[in-house]
Amino acid sequence: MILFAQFIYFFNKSDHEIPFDWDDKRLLESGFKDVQLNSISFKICKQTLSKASNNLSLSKEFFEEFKLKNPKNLLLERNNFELLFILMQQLEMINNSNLKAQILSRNIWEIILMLPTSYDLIQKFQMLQSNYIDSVDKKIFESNTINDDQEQFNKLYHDIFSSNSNQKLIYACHLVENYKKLNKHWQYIFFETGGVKFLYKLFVDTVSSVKFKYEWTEWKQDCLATLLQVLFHFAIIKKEDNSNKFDW
Amino acid sequence: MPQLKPELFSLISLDLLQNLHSFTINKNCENSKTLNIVVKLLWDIAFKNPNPDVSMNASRHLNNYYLNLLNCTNKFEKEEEFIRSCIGYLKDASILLPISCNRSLSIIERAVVLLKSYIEVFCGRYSYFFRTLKLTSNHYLYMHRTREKNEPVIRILATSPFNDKNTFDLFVLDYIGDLRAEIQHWWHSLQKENGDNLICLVSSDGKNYI
Repeated sequence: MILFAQFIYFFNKSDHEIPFDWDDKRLLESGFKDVQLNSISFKICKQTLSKASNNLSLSKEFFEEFKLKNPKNLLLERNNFELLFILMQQLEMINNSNLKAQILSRNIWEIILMLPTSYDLIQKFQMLQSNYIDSVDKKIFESNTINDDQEQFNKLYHDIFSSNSNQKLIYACHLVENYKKLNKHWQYIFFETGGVKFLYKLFVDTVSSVKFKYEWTEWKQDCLATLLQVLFHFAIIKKEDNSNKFDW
Repeated sequence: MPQLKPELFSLISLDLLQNLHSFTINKNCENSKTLNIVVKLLWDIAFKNPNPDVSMNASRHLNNYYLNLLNCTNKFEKEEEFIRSCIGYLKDASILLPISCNRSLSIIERAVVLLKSYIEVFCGRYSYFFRTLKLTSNHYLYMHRTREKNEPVIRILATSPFNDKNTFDLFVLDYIGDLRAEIQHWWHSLQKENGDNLICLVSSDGKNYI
């Protein structure tokens, strides 16, 4: 691999170039300050698409490969991802007094947070949105009601909110919250498709399923708190037709 | 030496094994049989040796091997090997957990440390690529993350060679690679016809970053 860099634009001698292999330095460690406006300029390199010094190829092929095979994405592969959740659950169930197990399950959660969101789940959310749009269209043209599609939405919600894993449930709830932040229509979609109702039921079921003290784990409490938070955020919206009655 | 059980290695014998490892790397190309045996043994020591110092030392050596010593072919084979190995031990630990809790916990603990430090270093080194991935993806990549509030922001004013200006807000823990990717992305959107040109950051005004 040959580095061929030719700099087209002239720049001052006091300026100094930041090489590509400094990519791994944190901004704060590099002299950038959070209390002031920092300034930086750049120049354009005319170069071939590879760089010899640290083996980082800059080609499109490399980027495509990187997309699929970087370690974060490898961990996201279905079986690997599933294993991380199984382990968290196993560790949760060991024993409330086993501090090491509790800490380890949290450490695995931290790894989950480092990864991008599971694409499987993203697809289900996208499906929810597109199905909603379809059913609204149907409502207009065929005088069909959304309720007819309720079963189909319910099935999707069953897939999204796994009632047998506290960690998966928390994970999915975070997605709901973020969708709400990003898309202002989302709270209506979630409401109209029965998501709020589904989560309310799930909350009630989860609470009543706790029978023994050992089932009252920290994760269980977190899970209920997250569910409550989502319900709280969604319960205060009004339906579009201005009827603010909340029928479960 | 490869016949010694991974549980029985001391710091001294580990040191010898690590030397053997470096020697095989220098002497042979990848895929040699010896190399595979030695690497497997290093993994086993990292996960199974009862002495935390020995295990830690072997882990550090593995991390260094997978992140620094490889002659990368850019095929991500070694990344796959690393993740596959860690996942393999975690699977074992999952099966072992009901049988031998403490042994299983120790494997999980070691896997977590190894994975986390590996991903952290990888994220830094490939920060430009991760950021580019985020910027060019058609959906937000971290939908399951709830952002911590009050994370301090670093505001950066970037000036192009043609005096175009734009400000970027990054977080204190972001990397130089994140900044480079943001500016490259912006530059790309300004210069549709010459978008493939790479930019190189220059710290100006006599201020010495880094």
